[in-house]
Amino acid sequence: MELVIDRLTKQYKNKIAVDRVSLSLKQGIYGLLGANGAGKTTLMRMMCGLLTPTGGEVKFNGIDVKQEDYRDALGYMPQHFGYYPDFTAMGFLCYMASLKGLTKHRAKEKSAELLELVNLTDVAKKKIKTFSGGMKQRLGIAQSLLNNPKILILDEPTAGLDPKERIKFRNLLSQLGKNRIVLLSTHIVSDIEDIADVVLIMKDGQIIENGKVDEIVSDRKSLEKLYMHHFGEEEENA
Amino acid sequence: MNEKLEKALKGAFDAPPPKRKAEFLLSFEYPAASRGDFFMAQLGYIRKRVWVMSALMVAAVMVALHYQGDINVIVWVCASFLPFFVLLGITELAKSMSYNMAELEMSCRYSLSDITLARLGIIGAVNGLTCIILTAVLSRVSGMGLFTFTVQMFTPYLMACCFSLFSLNRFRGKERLYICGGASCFVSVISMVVFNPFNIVPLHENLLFWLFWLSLAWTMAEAIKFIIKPEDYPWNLSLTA
Amino acid sequence: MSLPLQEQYDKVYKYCWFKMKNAHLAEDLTQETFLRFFAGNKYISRGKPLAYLYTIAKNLCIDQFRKKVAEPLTGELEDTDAGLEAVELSAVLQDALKILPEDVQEILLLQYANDLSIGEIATFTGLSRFAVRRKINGALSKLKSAMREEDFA
Repeated sequence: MELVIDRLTKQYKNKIAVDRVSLSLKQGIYGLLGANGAGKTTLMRMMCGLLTPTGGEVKFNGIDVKQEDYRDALGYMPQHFGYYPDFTAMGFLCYMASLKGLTKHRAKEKSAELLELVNLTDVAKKKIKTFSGGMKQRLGIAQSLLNNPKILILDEPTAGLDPKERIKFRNLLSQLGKNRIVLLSTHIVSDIEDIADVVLIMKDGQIIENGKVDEIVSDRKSLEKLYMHHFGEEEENA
Repeated sequence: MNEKLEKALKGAFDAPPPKRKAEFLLSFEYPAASRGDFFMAQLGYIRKRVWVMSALMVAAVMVALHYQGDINVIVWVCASFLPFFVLLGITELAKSMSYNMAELEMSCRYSLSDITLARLGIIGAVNGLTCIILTAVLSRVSGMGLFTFTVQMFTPYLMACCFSLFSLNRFRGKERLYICGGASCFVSVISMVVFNPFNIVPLHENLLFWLFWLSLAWTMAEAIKFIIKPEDYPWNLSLTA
Repeated sequence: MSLPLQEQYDKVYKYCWFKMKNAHLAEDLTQETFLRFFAGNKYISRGKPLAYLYTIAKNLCIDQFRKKVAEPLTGELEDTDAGLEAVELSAVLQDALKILPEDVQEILLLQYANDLSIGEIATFTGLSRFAVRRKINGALSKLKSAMREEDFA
């Protein structure tokens, strides 16, 4: 199981959002850390086939990102997403399931399982418009797992979760990372420390740090210091 | 005693618990739904209003005919209403954008382009069927040739189509839908005011004829553009990362 | 299949264990059964009969027998979490079951432990529904006479 990103680039008229990024991802949890505007979302979108790169390629086990088989192995949770009006949690999952190629029967089963997993079973029949931000977030995580994906890409999944939910999420993720490639982005350093096996720090479209969390972090505070080292000036100037 | 026996039998064949069940189920590849299943599912997600509006129009025409209304008036009123079918179709097509579902849908196996094509197919079929029924029912009664009837009936519809598709292709974001709405209203009004049967002059007939062909050609061009182009959604131009 | 895969797994496993009396082997065969049931059938056909699932399992068990001698019966009592009475009943019942021919035992398993319908059992065995019912009733009366009345007190 290997996701290969080769010199991936996204260039706009006056800015390079992602600059010749090359990565090789295997099983485990990768934390993508970086300030807003560093290129995280653009990179993730290209890894999901949502954006056409200006250069480079993305392949999973040799399957190119544009192919249906790639999407079949993919689970994605965007930073912001909507829902069709009057959708219930269950209805939303069943709809997404139909897009991911699950049969109706299987969709109901799996949706129920996943609602249980993210603790939304008691609101399964409630409309999403009544949901809090954290509940919507959990629903987003649930939908990304419908097709049992081998690649899981989550854009700021912990934003809007309260501390208790965060812990549950960490546990969930550590289970998931066992036979999957999980990439999650965040700008919260502590999330990465606790969840990820490997940390990738992104700045100005490039990956400037790539390594095992415990190798990069020798004492508890180091990851934060490292982050501040790279981004500290910008934040001070902001 | 039978009951006890049957109860006991239930447990008489118990086996030691399976050890590799969770692992197996986790990695098990469930058989997938076919493209056909996906299409049928999409059919179910088309909003009711599309079906209802078509049915209502056909029903209204039937009622009007039954009461022997003036055929020219019926054709004129229909022609003026048809642009709103375009609006309905367009809003249905643009659902993913309107409700911010596009990003999620693009990452799925049956992605946004599949969904759009399915929607296009379904709406096209519904619209097409409605038009065929209306034509079948009205053209004979109207006494005009089939071609003349088609021009009278469908020119406003085609005009609305091409304006709307043009708007979808050229502009970005939610404004597109407002423009489509505006275009449909505009065409409808033009149809009511200019193309009405009360002051038809030979000149008008030719005008309509040209408008028909122009709209048809333009609609096809914009439709092809719409289907082929990849979805450059707003974020392509924004620089948020 | 109307039941979720999780439950079907347990049931097919029970059946395979009954045939093979070996847990590891039974699980292998169970997994193989499911793989074959769905294989070449990328698009699930609605309502493929349950009987078919068991037919696959049965054939796999037969193939397995041909390949090697099945490991000997463990002969141990299974743990049930019912009370002592149930355990005793179970032991007596299991002994009594042994007097029945294997195909009849199989039918009892499918009927009572795995909740198959008479129709499904009929399809699986190739017998008529009438014949299946007759076998079940016959088996029940044999069991009743083999076990004493007191066992059911």
